[in-house]
Amino acid sequence: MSGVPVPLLELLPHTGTARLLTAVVHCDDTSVMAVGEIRSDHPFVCDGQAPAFLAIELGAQAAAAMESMARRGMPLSGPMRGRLVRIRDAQFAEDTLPVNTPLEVTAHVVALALPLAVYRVRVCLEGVERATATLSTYDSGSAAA
Amino acid sequence: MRFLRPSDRQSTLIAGGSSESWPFTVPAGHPCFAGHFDDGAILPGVAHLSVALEACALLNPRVPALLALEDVRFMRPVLPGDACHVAITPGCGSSSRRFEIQCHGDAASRGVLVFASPWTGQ
Repeated sequence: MSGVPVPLLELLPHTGTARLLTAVVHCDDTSVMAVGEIRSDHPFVCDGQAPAFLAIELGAQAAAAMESMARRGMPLSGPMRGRLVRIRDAQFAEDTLPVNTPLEVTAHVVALALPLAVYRVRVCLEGVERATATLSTYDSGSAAA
Repeated sequence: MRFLRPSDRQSTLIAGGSSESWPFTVPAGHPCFAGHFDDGAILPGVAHLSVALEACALLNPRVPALLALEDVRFMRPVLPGDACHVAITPGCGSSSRRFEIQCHGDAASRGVLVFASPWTGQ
């Protein structure tokens, strides 16, 4: 699935400050590598720092982008309108994440039984792990549907 | 970002301790809903976590750093203007607290917050 860059507008229903992903670097059938950034005007940013739990949103958006890329070209394809239904576990290396700073986001499929999917996600800063989590999503269809 | 009013706190005795809760409503136009999503606003899952952590901070202004999450489930979307409340109860250890957010009487989310160190008090 990797190759021609796909505008994130076509992959995610999030807009404005809610869209944390800025680019998809690589995507295949079982994983996605992306870059994300938390803008300083994001509503959860306080005193120039973002709470670590925003890593969950970064990971969920990476998983959603992967789902949308897998469905490109299918009838009624469009940004995945999935729901985060469970955080099985999550660990945070620090209490905060930096703002206006590129963060590396990866998501790997752990289990798939559509419309349910389980992903292991990881958020790193300059190669250093800042958060990991196992997320479950429910694909309620594309926003174009 | 604040969702709760400290003065709205309600305490209920439960087995093994107490449940502390706060009612809240996230109105349409709140920054949390911006871009999530343009064709039908839903409170982001991370906002549920933010509400739960704010409640913990009201119980303990020196609340330790959040270290982990365990088995957090999102059962019901929270929409603009929904009447909700968040409850905090003791966890399995002194470093953890359980939270549950209810919306119109139904569980919207629940899970366990694990902090970097034990905290004293409630």
